[in-house]
Amino acid sequence: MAYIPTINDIRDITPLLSEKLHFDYTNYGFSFLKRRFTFLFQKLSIKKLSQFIDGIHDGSLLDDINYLFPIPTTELFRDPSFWRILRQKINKYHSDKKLVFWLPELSSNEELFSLLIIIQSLNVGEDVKIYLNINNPQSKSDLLSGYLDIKNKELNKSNLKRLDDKLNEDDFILNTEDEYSLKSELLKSLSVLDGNFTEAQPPKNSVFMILFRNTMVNYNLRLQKTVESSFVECLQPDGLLALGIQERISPNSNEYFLFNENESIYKVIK
Amino acid sequence: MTVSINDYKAIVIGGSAGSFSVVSKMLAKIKPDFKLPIIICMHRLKHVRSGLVDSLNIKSNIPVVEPFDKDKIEPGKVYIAPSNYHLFIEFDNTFSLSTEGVHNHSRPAIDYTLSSAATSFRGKLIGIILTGANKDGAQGMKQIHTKNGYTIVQDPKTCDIVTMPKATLDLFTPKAIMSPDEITNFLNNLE
Repeated sequence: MAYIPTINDIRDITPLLSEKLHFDYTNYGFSFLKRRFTFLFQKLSIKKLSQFIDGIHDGSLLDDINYLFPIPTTELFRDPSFWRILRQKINKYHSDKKLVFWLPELSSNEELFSLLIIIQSLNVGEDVKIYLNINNPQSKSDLLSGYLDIKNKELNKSNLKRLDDKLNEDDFILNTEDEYSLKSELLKSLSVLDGNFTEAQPPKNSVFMILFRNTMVNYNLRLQKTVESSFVECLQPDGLLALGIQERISPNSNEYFLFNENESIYKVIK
Repeated sequence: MTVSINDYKAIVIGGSAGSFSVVSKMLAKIKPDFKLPIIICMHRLKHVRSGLVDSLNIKSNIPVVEPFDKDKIEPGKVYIAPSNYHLFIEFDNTFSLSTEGVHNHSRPAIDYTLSSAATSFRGKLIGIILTGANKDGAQGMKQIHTKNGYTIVQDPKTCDIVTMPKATLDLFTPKAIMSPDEITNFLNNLE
């Protein structure tokens, strides 16, 4: 049975993690931290708090924490209507400048692979560039192998049909008895940024859209405001920030305005 | 026994199969000036984003909304857990949402909403479990009971599917077992 962290344990752990991983873990929502550390302790078979703290100090647990702490995206094409709108925008884009996307936290592959499938279906790979932050070897390995969670196979298939029933799953996904993964030829247009998104960002004024859906639900308002502000510089003047459909930009923000209410897409003010 | 509305800060309700019509009838009969927030977590289809709130609002005497992440919990409103998100209640009287994994095959999971409400409101919470086809919600109701909240289980004789109320009754003895009409009367008669 794994150790269950207390409130005081979390107060001890989060400043230490912030220092080691260069990201503010103290301003996640408290109930989220309690659930997530309980999950982490189970996954890593932590029997005593000191075992976890020692693993942070000597660095032996940091890659595992970076891999396991973020919440994986639940499925390919979560909220198909969002992806339909995005597909229309990509399809209508005509410029000699590349269309740049940024996924600041690759918690799992589903969000990125949804974007790659759309790009492939429109045959616009040459016109698109995607930045993504990866801060641990396991996420990099999952990405390169095109890993998809087989548990979501039927859900992914039905979401693809909801996006466009003319699309054929077999054009994008290797789906055999032994394997369920994104086809390797779709893994292009990618620029991996090493480290977390506060340390490594795309060039200034370059990004058309930041895909950051359902990540800030785990932050408190203070951290949300800080992160929203940190995105402004790299967005192009009419750049977009996509949040989850039940998320809003922080109250009284003077950095973004609402662009699409149903899909919670915001446009930067600059 | 008289139960005073001033002893409570919120009502939290869980339900699954068959609970939509129960909730709809309850909200149609609840007093328009009912002052406690009512937080409802019902199992629902993940791909149907709209419709549920609109359907409930047609008959409800109190406005029904799906909360956004970090929304404040306000009196005189009915909140429904959005599809494909877990709904939690925080100490600062706000909602938080999460896309964490399914619990009891469900997202939203009733246990999560009820347990977090019990942690935040402690004894100042009325928890109600309605008809449903799995055991989700039973542990959350037990949390409310353990923290001295007021617990009501829908009378299994009035349920479409009894699994959820029975799973709750297997864990502890609630303050009351009531039919949907009795639950509505109880809420309307809180003084």
